[in-house]
Amino acid sequence: MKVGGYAGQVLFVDLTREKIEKEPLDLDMARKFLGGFGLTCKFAWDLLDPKADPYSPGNMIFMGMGPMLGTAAPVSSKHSVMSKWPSTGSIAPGTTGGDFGINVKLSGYDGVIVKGKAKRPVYIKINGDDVEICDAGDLWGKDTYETTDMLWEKHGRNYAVIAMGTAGERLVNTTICFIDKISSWGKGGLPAIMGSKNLKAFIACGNKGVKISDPKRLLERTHMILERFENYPDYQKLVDLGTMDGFAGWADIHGMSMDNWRGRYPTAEAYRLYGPEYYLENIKAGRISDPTCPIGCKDHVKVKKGEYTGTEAWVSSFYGRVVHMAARCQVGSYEKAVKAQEFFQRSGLCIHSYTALIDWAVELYERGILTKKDTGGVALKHDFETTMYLAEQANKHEGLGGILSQGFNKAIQDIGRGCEKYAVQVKGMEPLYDPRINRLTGPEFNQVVNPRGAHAPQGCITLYMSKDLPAEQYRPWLEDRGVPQEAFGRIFPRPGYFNIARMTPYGEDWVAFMNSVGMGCLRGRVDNFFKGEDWLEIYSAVTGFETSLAELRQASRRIYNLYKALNVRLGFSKKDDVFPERWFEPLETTDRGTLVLCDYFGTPLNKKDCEKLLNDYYDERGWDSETGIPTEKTLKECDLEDVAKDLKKRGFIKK
Amino acid sequence: MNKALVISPEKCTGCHACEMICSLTHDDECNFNLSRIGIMKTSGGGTNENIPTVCQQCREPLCADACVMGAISRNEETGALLVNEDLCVGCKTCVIACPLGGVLYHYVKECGMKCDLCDGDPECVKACLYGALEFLPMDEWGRKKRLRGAETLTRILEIVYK
Repeated sequence: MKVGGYAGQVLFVDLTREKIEKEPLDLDMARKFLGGFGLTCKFAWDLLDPKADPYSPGNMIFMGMGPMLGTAAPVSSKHSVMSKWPSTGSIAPGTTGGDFGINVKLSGYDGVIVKGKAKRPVYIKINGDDVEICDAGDLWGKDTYETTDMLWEKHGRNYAVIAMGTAGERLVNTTICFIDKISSWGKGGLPAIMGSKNLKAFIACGNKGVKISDPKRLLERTHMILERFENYPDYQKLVDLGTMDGFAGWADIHGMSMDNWRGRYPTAEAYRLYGPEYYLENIKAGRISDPTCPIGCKDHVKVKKGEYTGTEAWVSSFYGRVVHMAARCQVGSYEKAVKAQEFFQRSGLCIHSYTALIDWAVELYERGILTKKDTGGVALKHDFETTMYLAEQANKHEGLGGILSQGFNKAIQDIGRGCEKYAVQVKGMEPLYDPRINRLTGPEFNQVVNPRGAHAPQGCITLYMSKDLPAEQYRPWLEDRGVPQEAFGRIFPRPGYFNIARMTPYGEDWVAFMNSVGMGCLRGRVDNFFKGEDWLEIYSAVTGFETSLAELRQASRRIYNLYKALNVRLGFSKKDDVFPERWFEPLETTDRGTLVLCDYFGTPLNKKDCEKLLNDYYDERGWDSETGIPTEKTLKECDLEDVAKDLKKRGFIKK
Repeated sequence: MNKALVISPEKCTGCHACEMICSLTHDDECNFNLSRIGIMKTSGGGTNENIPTVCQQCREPLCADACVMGAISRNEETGALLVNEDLCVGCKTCVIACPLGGVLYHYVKECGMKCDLCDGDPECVKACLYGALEFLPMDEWGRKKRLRGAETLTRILEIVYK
């Protein structure tokens, strides 16, 4: 049998010793942890010192390219990065699309591991067997657009570029990298980690093919899936609107919290300022797709009139960014949103994270916790000027913006004065979805239990379907994705109801699977076109390994438990899985009345109910409900005996 | 009338699906460097920034004229110009001769490499759901282009008379 999918090598770059090494990929290990996200978990467990400070040379950057990445299969574009994030202190993955991962695989590597610290600014060039640490003296001080353009100028547009902006150089935590100016990667501070290593960028271009074990089988399945997309009646609308296709969901059906989780952005206002028609007419310049994705949802946006004419940005999930600029910062217009977006992307500030901190700071100012003494004489408001003022300070890592830019954990300490009471965060990271507006479904619940911090996507199942569906509608999805029959009685304990805490682990595992094999997109619009069997077929056609959904699910469960164990070893436990206090306060809205925290079916939930849900979640996961830590039995079931032994030795698992 | 592979660059999102399926079909691996069609990205790579390049199956093919071995000939049924890999000596003159970048050098097989229209049923067209690639008879393409021109003119007239 010809093994395909895996490139066969792992690349090690030691910036301190200026050494580059290549090692063959252990295929047995690859089968056990699939690749991509799974592989980075395994590397981090084996190689990363849990005590390493995120900024120290000892912290490492792990990149994983799964076996399906870079194949003809639809949406085979996901690659994963893992490190110890400075904003949260957790070890967690960030995933992205874009052309970088493919080029690393075409260069012959399934993983890239970087450690140490360069003596002077450098970038890493990967071109097949030729891997180089190059001088980045002229790139230092340049923003992401400039860095990318300069590297394309020097090496050619066929290279994919990961660039960090100016904020990363100054070790700003709420930052993110960009691949080819578009695809964001490493929320939680990848640029700051790179900054601490004097590492400005990565570039990659490869020409070795991704071997396919059974090309005919892959081609047949690809045709089958593409036909489903093609026959979808609203296909063209999905392509035209990109993530703006979800506008009604955001603006009307659900909504976005504003005023630091004390209000809901009014539907009429959203349509007046940010409607899809205006976007198509005045903002959208082009549609961009991740590799082999039939419904590209990334945007090239360009302001066509007014003061900011010509301002342009290439963005993943434009709608997600608009939401933040519109609701959290209330910048007031699409044009200003794009202007702010451009600044954030150039400097490398993370729009998701930093807008949440701005929102919080405005409330602190309104309450008198922050004064003009802290702000440098500026009155903080929810407006464009405040947003730009704080963003510019963040980029320079100075003043109040500089304090905020280090993320909730550090900013809470630096500001003090009881400010933590108004910070809506879990493990130092901002949530995205408000369960009082959306109700407590998978993504909302996952924000509490995700080891990374309040990062939503991993609890995705209920994101895939309209939230007014009857409970039973979720059963086929779970069955299709290999959830064991014995679990259904617990997930659906009575007709017309499901327990979200018991359903979420299977969604998390599914996302872990996709991120590991290098496929998929978290957006429901893509998943709706796939069946569990597709992934199985593609995996086997590409790699040559015959398997079953149960086996793949078991691998995903193994990966997720290892991901959890990585963070248990850092001291994370149940005490960190905390529902933000503000979610228990009623949400007064201008057009939807008063909203309270409810389950999917509209039954209000109090703290005790949420505590019970947490325990159900741990129980479903096979984790200790007192500590939130995987039990020895569960780890052994996942073939993670060595992990169990280690956690026991360190006293995290009771003997 | 032979059909031709018709490109609408303004619809290309740079997803590489055509390249992946082309190399999969012809070389049993996925590799956009060994694809007969190539997406040339500029800047960020939005629909206004990508140019798909592929052999145009010229009526008077410069590549075939340049080939001293006579290794490039037309399949009359599909209209595709094909490289006979047994005759090809790898001199790369065809690559030099083509002004459009339609012929490339297959660096593994060490011979000229170009689009063969997949025996009259191009895989890349099936993979491009964005409609940036179509396989059309020339009269139909003409009508389509005219229609698109008319639509543009209608928009201009609307602005003028508004």
